[in-house]
Amino acid sequence: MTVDIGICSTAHVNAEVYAALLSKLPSADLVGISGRNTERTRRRADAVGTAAMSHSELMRATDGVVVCSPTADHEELIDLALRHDVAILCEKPLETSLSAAKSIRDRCAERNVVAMMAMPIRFSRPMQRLKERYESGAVGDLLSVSGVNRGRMPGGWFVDPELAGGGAVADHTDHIVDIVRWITGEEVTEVYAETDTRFYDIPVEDVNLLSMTLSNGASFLLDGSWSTPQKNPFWGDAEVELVGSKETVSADCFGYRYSHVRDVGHEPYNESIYWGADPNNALLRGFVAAIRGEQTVAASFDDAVRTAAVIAAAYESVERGEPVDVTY
Amino acid sequence: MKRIVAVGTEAAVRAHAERYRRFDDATVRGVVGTDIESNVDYDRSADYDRSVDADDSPKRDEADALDASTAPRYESLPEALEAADGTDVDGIDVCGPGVSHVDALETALEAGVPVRCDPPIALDAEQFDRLVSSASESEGWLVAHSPHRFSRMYGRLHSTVESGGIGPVGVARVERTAPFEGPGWNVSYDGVRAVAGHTEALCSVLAHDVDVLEWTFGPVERVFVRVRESERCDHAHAVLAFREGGRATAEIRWHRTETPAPRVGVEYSGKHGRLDFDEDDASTAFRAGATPLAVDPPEDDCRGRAIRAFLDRLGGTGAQPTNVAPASPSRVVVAARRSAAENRPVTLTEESQ
Repeated sequence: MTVDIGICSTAHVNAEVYAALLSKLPSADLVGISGRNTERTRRRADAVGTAAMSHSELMRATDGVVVCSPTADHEELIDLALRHDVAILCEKPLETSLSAAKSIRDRCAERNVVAMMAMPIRFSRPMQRLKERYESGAVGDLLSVSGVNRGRMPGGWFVDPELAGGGAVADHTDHIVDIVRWITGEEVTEVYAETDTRFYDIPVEDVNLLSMTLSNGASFLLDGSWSTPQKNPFWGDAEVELVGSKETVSADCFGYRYSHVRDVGHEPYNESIYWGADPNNALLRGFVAAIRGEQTVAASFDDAVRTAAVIAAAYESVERGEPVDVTY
Repeated sequence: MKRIVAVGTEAAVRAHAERYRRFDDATVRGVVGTDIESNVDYDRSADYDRSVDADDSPKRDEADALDASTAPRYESLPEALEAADGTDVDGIDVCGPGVSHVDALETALEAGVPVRCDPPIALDAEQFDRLVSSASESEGWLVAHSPHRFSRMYGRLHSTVESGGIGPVGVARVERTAPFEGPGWNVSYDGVRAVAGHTEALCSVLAHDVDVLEWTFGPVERVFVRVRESERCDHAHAVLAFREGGRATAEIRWHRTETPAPRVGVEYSGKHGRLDFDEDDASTAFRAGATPLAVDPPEDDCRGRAIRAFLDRLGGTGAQPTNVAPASPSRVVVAARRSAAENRPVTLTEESQ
């Protein structure tokens, strides 16, 4: 028996990706896509053979929704889902402020709905192997962590501080912080952030360098800048290296790639294409399985609050010009 | 003919002496080597990128032996200068990590003899100030460029940035990994660690990266450093802010056990593009099976070119500094050490000028 799923808003760049995957997922029926922009919503729905509808109509028609709106709209759409007792898979970060994220988490807990964050890297096979190896004790005591999650600047509402809650810090802190928490079981206790706007003429930061300390004392360096050139053959990267007392291990989420050089037309063209197992597909299957009660959510809204706390601490660090403790 | 006294660890002194021997206008007047029994191959273990400075000439051992046997050997730099009667030395080369040779630097400057030294020239503010002061009062001068500046790879990166190839820098990134006991670029820092500590050793490595980054992107304004130590390996990361904008990270790690192959990764991302280099790119360019073979001829290795630049300055064909050039990378390292100790970012204006 399939689960009825909808995509709530087409604003996020991943909405199109999720729509294509859900339309082919055997365990789910993509019953509709909702959005304020009627024309864009219609186009997206037509592309995958589903219906375009309002947010309220979608909530009445589904068992679960994937919230792909600008971050500032998450709370309104999640509340709407709660009123209809609909399961939620939410794009990160959960909200533009830590207090709002906590409030959402608490309301969802009270209603006991399935509430899951879109953290596809938890479904990456190299990252899962890294977690297994760490948990086996092969790494030993953790000394330091190094991560990168650079990408192309996404533009649109992502560079509107009101809608996104910030720039590269808000957009590209979650994934690697979440995966390091998930793998090691340690929390980020302190953050020092260096940010800047150097690559684009935008009102938010595109440089995001975080120097952190984990609860076991390990140091943690993360480059989450929008520093990937727009013409780079691949969108970006997501890598983690763990240095321990026994060994050093690393995982590259998108390490499985091949190249495609196309020699037609007048424009030079080359692209790197990821051929590994699709973490987004596994993420959606996990969401459907959680709705069915077959498994727990991979990344909870409490996890989301913890990464939101790191983001908040990073912005506070920039403001104060010093390392700050993370307050959860 | 420029007469040079080389001071430093035995392996470094031998490697430098051999390089001076390549030039017709230089001779090694004496050597002051420590760790006499060391058999470390400096060409495989020096504090620079193996990939850009490789020279595996089969005649190397023979040449090293020749230099070691022909150059007069002294117990200390004062002894070497005294033997030369104070008039027979044109330049002093402090080989290896300069931080381990503060006394030699002060002796050289007091004697009014020009000196070349690997950065950093000092690790603490007091020593740094004293050396800068000595240099300004001395008839001699002190050059402390990283040999990286003289490598083809960094030179190419520098010229591409300077010509606007990637636009203003956004984020620069450097990663270094090496085994502690060689072969690798950091063996000579083992001594620094033993004498001064792991933070000092890692900051000494950082000096080379700071030198190249400042050369390429301008002065560093602020530095934040975290350092970790363990039985297996030491690790440090630095976050740097440039005065003219842009940021950089430098990660340094070396191992005692389960040693990885030496690795250097450099990436410069700017408003209009990205440059990146990984040591594997060069070390695998020419190889036999899995073993990388050297590509560059001896005269093209970066340390040899750094020495050539020093000789040119001594000969008057290169610009001579009035005191220390460059002083800033060492100043950044002093700040980095302070940042690591106090767990806070240190702005360079806080440090001595």
